[in-house]
Amino acid sequence: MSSDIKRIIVLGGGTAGWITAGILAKKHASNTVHQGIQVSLIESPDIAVVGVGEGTWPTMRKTLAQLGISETHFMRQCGATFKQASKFVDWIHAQNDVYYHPFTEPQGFNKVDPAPYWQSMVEPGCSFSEAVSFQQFLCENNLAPKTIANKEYEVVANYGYHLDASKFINLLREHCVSQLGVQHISDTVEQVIQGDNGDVKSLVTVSNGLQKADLFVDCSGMRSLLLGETLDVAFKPCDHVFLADTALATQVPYAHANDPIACHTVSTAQTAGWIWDIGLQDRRGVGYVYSSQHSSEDEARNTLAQHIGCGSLENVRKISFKPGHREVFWKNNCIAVGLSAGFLEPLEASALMLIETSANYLADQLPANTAVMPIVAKRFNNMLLKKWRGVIDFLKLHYALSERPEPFWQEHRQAQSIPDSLKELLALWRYTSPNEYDFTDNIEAFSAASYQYILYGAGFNSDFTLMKHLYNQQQHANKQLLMTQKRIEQLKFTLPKHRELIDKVNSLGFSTI
Amino acid sequence: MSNYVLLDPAKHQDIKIKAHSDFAFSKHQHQVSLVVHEFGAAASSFPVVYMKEPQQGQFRAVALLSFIAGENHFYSDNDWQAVHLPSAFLRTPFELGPDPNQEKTLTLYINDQSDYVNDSEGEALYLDGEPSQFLQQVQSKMAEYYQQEQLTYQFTQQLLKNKLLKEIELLIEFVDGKKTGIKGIYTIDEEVLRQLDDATILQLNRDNYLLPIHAISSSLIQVNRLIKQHNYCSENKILGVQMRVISEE
Repeated sequence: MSSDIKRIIVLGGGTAGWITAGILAKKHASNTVHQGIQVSLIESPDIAVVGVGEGTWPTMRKTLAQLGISETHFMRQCGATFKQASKFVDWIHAQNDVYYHPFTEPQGFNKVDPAPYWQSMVEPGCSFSEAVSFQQFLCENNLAPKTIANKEYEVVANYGYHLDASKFINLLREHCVSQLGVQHISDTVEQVIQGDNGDVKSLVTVSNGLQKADLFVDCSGMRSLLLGETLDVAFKPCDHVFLADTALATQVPYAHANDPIACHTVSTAQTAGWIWDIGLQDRRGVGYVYSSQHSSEDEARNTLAQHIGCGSLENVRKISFKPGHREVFWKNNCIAVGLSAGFLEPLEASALMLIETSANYLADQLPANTAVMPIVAKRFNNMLLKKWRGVIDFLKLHYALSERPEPFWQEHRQAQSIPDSLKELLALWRYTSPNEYDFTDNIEAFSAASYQYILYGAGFNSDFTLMKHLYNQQQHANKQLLMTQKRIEQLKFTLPKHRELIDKVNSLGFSTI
Repeated sequence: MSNYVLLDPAKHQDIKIKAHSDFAFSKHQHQVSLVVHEFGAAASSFPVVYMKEPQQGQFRAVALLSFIAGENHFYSDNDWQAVHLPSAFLRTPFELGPDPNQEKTLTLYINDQSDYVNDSEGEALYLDGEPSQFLQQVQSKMAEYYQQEQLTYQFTQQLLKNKLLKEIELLIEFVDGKKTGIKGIYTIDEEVLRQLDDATILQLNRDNYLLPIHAISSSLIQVNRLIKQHNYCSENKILGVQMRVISEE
């Protein structure tokens, strides 16, 4: 016997919980004509929120707009800034080497592949991203991706955000409860009650009794209370692929209130890991992701302090993690979103993206009743496993291309640590560039353009000479590079400094039209 | 050239201002700002639209004088060709700017590189160290202009509050095959205007806002006049202009 989906309970009030509850409620809550679905979120008042990820993808613009949150309000409430790229420092030789992964794809990428041509057209020393995209210039000059005269969520150059995770949760909670009709229950779950077929029937809470629902979203964090503990879905570690298992995170104030704000995440490679550096409105978020096998905590603290340029560190949060993900993400009537689904080091800010993807899929494909649920679950799992595979390959690519000599880096390059799917891609790319045939799925996490930015940014050389007859678009490619230069000349006069725009967002705000 | 400086009796004691003649200074100006009081008259000559000024992103009412930046198709054959003369032109070479001696107060600035400014011809600004009658007239006109700008601001706020502005894009096709799109132009959303509730319409009428609203709407046909003027002045003629409403994604 099948039953209709009338109530969904989201367990956990972190970023994953509130984003999922918000997207579900926005799409499925009752309206004036039809009875919809009740979305409730239960969060324990005693459990601290991890607040993963201070960096987002450009997808976050659409997510926020879809939830009905004004961009101006979001930026003011979350101390948020614009993010246009990731910048990788010292990842290749540890000799001040730099490459960028900008959010804007190469100029004319859908018309002509720049990879076979760009090198013959630039000065020696000019990097791939510098040649094919104007966005590196914007980042290097602290220029914002738009002006105050642009509308909310409108772009001149593609962007996501840097944000204060705990402020973001407050904003989402307030919006979900007051605007989207999400029922908020602050209570501790004592027991999970299952039916004969294993479906979760209800949650027993301390002060709000039995909470029944037809569908449960597990956003309980690394504990994975419903999917992991109750439904016994195994965790698939990938610590053979990624060696880092610890993060030290801290906050650094700006020396002067008017210091420039970086418009990109800076990721600087270290002996046993890498340091992220994210510029918010009133502080920076800095942290060291490292392998406890290759560095003691004291050494790691020193590395971080040295990077920041201070003698000692206060208020450092230590987070231990195991990279990997659940074998499936949807079992019976329970879906894991966020840390309960898995965790990877935040090298390309994929955590929030995976949350957005899962929540959107769930809201768009929500089964009408339990009878069709297994079909949707199967498709959801297929989709998400591909996403995770894509993220793992893409993150690993950064390590695979490094030539750093330290043991941490050498072990990262050992053949047995590289997934077969990535090995195959790397073999192909010896003679051709990353292209759409490598990523045929439209749900692929990273595009061919992103792979090119990493691959050629890190100095990889594809040998295009064997198929020389294919590459007769030199002139066309030339034109794209010239257009990039022209765009830079134009944008450097029209775009404001990043901090200047942030100040204007706070004093004036973006208009909605 | 423009270089607006604070009007200073010590510095500007001996300069004179020539009388307005042909408005040649507007030759390279493709738009000019308007106050709400002249929307009706301006609509007789140009498209009256809203655009955002780039520094603050604030909406500003302007008359479009050309589709091409740096060109003014209403200045040709050494003369001003339109029926209406925008009040902003009459203010030349004066402007209002912040008073450095008094916070939140505006005072007179002068463009000392304007062709109107010289020391032999026209009206003196000062006589025996005292403001001349001419300068006093300028001051009172600028005070009046300030009032009009305030009212224009209030009018604009009402448009925004009632969601009466919508963005349109002008897609221009030239004879030589080139196509270009001009974004960032706002006009009245007539559908929203039609749906306003009775009380709001009544209030807009009492505030005397309905006339300028209709002036903006009806002035869009002047895009055709811009095409004519363009084709009269330019080599690369315009085949046609399409108007497209930019809808929200």
